Amino acid sequence: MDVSKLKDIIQKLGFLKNYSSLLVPVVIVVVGVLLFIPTQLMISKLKDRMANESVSIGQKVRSLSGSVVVRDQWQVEQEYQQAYRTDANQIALLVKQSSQRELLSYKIFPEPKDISTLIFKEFGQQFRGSINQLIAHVDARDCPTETELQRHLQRSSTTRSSRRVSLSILSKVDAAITDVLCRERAESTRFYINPADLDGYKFWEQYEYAGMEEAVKDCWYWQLGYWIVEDVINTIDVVDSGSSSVFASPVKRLISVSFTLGGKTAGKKSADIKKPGYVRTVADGFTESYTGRLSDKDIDVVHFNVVVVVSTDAVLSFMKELCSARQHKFSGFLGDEQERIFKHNQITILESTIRPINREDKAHLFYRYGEDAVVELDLVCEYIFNKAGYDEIKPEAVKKEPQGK
Amino acid sequence: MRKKGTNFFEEHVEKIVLAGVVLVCIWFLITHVLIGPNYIKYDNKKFGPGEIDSYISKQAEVLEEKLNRKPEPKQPYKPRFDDFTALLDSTIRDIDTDLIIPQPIITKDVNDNRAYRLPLLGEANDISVEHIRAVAYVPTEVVNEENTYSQEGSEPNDIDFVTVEAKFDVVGLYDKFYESFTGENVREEWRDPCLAKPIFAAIQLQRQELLPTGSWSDWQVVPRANIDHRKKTFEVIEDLEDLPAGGIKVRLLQFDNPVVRMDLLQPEAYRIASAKEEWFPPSLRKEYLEYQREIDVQEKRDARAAEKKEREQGRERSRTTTRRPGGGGPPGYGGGGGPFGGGGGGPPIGGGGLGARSSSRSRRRARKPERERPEKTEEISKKTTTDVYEKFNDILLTEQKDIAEMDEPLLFWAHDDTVELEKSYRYRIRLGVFNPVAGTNQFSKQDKSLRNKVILWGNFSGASEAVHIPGKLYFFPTNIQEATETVTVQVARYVLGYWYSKDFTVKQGEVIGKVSEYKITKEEQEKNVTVPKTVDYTTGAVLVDVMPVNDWSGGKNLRPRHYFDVLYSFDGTDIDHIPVKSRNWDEQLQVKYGEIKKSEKEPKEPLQDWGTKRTLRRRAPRPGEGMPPGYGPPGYGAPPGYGPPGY
Repeated sequence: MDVSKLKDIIQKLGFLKNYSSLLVPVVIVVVGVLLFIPTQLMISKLKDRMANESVSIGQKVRSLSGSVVVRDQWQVEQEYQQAYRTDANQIALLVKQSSQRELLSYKIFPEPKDISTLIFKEFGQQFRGSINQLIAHVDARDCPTETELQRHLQRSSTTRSSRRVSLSILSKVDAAITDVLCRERAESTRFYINPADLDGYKFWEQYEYAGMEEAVKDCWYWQLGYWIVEDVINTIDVVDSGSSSVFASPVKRLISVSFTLGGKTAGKKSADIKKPGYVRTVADGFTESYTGRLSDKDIDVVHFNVVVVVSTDAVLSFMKELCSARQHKFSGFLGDEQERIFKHNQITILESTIRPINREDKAHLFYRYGEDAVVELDLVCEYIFNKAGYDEIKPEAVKKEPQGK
Repeated sequence: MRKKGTNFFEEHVEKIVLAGVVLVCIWFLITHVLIGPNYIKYDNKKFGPGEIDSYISKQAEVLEEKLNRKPEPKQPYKPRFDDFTALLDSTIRDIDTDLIIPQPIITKDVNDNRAYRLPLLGEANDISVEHIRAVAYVPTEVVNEENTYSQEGSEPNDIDFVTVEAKFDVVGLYDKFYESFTGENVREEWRDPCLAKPIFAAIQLQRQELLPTGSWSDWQVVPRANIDHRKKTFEVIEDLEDLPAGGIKVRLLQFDNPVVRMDLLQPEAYRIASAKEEWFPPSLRKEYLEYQREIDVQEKRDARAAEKKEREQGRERSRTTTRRPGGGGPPGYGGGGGPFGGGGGGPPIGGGGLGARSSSRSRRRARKPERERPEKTEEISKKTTTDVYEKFNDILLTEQKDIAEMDEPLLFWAHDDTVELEKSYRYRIRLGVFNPVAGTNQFSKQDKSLRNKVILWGNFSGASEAVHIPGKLYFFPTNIQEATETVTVQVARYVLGYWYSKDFTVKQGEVIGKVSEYKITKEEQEKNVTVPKTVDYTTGAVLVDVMPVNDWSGGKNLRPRHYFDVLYSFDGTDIDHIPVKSRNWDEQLQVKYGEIKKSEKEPKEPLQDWGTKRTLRRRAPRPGEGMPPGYGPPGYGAPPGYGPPGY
């Protein structure tokens, strides 16, 4: 560097002499500034560290403080959940058991164990026989038949030859005897049933084999039908318990259990097939269901119609009983297990109609209902089957049917 | 001091700088000393580096403390299973089932506390019994309500049956029922006219059999006659529980029917086919037979007188012809022998006079029939037809007759068609009416035991007189050929209303009698009499031996007697004996032989058609049955051509 230039610079800076007194402060300032920068950096770093370490931990602590669960709280929760699980399983089991019922035949479901078509006839016989046994068990009978009445009536040449056509104009004595015989029947039976009025009874009487798949489906749906009929009859049995005559019984007569309503059968297109069927779509139902239940992956729904003659005092009792639990036996779907007693309650009343009765009407001519005021109670009901309970024996042909949902 | 030419800045730069420094220092002092640059905001508080950790540490301790706290007891899990089960038990359990549909009020009579005193029925009186043996229409098929006693289902055959009748005070019975159920002693609210009407339920006929020891057997119930199509209905069922379907109510309705009552109390007898027999209730039959006997006697007298008269007229004619040619015609008889109600035999008209050789006595006898006897016969005949038949009609119940208003006691009867030959019986009879309150609790204390009794019985009548049923086969040893030791045995067999006899020559060890053909006579053929093609004379007895017997007989004037005894046996073990020849027989056998011989002499008459007797019930015809001609309401004259011959 040139000295002159240095001198020149020094000269130019000569004014600084005038501010020599400021030199020290300036230096201090400069040093201060120089020190300030790293300090700020250090402060910043410290803050970051504090924020990252202490504060985050603090926040965790704080957040944990808000939702801290006592160290052994899990045990309490586990206990709770265990109880919950047990409860839920019990209910699920109960639901499942509700659809695990005794079968009319253990040779058919899920697929016939015999290629002989006779097993279907046997099923039909079993169906009818079980209905008869059920009716006998509950001590129910139908009113006296015309033949029975004829046997007791006073005979004369004119009336005997034309008895069948002249029943409506019975002589006074004959009418009185008829009345006594009818009353006698009413006194000796708890309620009236004619098995022919129960859907399926006639079907199996006139059954004709129409192919294996169709036969298996028939058996399956009528198995469901039998369970439903059994429930209805057992319901009446309970309502009429303690009574030994129609006169004392609240439910006087089971007019019909039908799986057809106004020519409509659930799940069937043909009106003349009076079989039970699954309600898979709204259109399949007998009525607009307020429950909105349709057959789905969990349940199967069947609609049916039951008509009874019941004392006016017992209309609601009967409906209540119909929606009450009943016990059933189950010995496994092969029938080879130890018999267990299960409970089920699968009926829901969807629609009820009460109609007055004209006792002089032909439909009630030989029936005696006593002095109670009676009405005809017409119920449309749905019956729920839990799939988990019985799907293992449901025939493939039924499973393959188009599902609604 | 201020220098010229320098600017203000230059003049005061040091001050400015100083001021600036001071300001900076103050800021620095405040921010970095007084306040401190290293604080951090946490939890709305400022913390220095040394404070925050301790603060957080404290918080962490608190947290740890919280963690280590005792676990908070959780609200225990409320099991839903019970709720679900309850729901399963009844899905609509909350519905109030006491809600009742309004209905008209029905008033019910409360009768449970009624207590009636049941009436005592009294007994059947004036029992009378009569055996009748005749050819009758005997059912060939089972008679029941479906298949009634009819001509198509029966054929003429011999039958023995006994009718037992008795009388019962029905009006008294009605009074007793009235008193028991509607009388003044019955509470007004309990009085029930429906119960006060007695309905006859049964007649019970019982019999005793005379045993070989001479004593009577125990009383046995006699079933209803085989021809009674309601015998099933009339079976006596005494316990309520044994009643068929319908119970007592149906039976009350069935029996409260005039026709059923008629069939019960006055059952129809077998339709008699024998021309000379007629069935009547015992008391009337006795009367009828008495008339019949008188008429028979009278008939014979008339016949003899007519024959005698004819002979005399014949002689007279021959004398007249000798003296005065010409004369009367053959004797004529008025209207032919009519039946009951038909024209009576008129006195002979025409003909000649009496025989000249007749004594005055014989003339008197002969004249008597002309003037008096026919009138008497007519009177007897009239009596028979009017009195007996009308009496019978009077006692018959009809659909119109109100038995509660009957002036006379009710005559009821029952038949016993199960009698056995050569046995003797006696009978008693009683009536039963339905217990109108059977099965209820409407009994007084005294009658509680009758709660399940369907029938209230009257007392039995006294025992009737004994009735003997004679045999239909007899044999009489009539002669013996000592040399050949053969016996002539006459076997008599009753077939189709008449006795037939035949002699059989029997040796030792041979069976007495055998089946023989019967040769119909010309007269029988002409009269169209029904006779058997063969007569079974088989007795079943074997002639064992013939023994000579010497004894004494004759009562006071004893004289020696020598005769033969025929020893015979039916089974080879018990041997019996009968003397040979009628004079040696005992009186009973002689009488029987006489009866048979007498009967054999009677001319045989053709069998009568179904429904031609006048004692048929006056009732509506049964199915397939027409009214017999001339019977049934309103009047009942006999059809022409029927009735005992000669009337």
